Amino acid sequence: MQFLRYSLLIIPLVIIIFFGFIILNENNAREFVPIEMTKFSSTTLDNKNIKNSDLPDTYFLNVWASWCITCKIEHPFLLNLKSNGIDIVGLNYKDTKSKALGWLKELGDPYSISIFDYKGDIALDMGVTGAPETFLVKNGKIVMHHLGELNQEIWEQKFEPHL
Amino acid sequence: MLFFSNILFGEEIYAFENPVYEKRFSTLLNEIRCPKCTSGSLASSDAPISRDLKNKIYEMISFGYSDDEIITYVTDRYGNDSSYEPNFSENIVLWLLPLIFLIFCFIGFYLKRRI
Repeated sequence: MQFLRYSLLIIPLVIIIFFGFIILNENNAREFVPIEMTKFSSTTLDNKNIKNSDLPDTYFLNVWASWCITCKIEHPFLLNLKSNGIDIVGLNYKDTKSKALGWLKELGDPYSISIFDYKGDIALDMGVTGAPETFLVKNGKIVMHHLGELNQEIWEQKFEPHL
Repeated sequence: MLFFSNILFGEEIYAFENPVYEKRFSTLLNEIRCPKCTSGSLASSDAPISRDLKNKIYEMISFGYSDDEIITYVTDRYGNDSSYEPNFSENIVLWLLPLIFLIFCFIGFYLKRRI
């Protein structure tokens, strides 16, 4: 009986410790560790040369493509950000210039600059897994990286605190 | 006459002059998780991001980067979960949990014997 009593004490304690640390571990995993922004030299969709030093100290960078359905859903929110005076740098990912320019003409252009990343090399070096994804770059470091659609909720949660 | 070894992953064929490079490439692809998949290594994935990462790893091996440098490149960008080798210091409690459980059991048995 005594053994049973101790087992009843020990087993829940071990379970609490186990799940406690799993939750703790997940919280740690959610913390974003800043990495250096990729050094790049590329062209824009309108065929101008562009490199890191041409960009401001702090900027939002949105990875998009004309083949990306979620980017179309996200697009009105980006236009809304632009109308509120927020500068967004676009990184056109694995797309063709003609389709990308056609998309911007049809749906509106929320980007101050659109970098053309045909092979996805810049994106790979930034840790992009697909489109859309949004980054905040501050003084040469990526301080925030969001995978998937950017909307009001994500914006307030992840990006606004950095403004 | 030069012999090149070839290794096939997905649609790409990677040619290596040095069999050691080929072995390293194959090991790394099995040790690194596909960033877009729920589970599964780069070797088992044909997702576009996996193809890009395979090309990058191939390029890094050819440029003389070490395995550690390549794994750091991937984990810096795609998180520590990208590596199938869990980091001991970051998961110390999970590693030590069986030991903690054993200690509790010993305490339980000790108290039981005393009573």
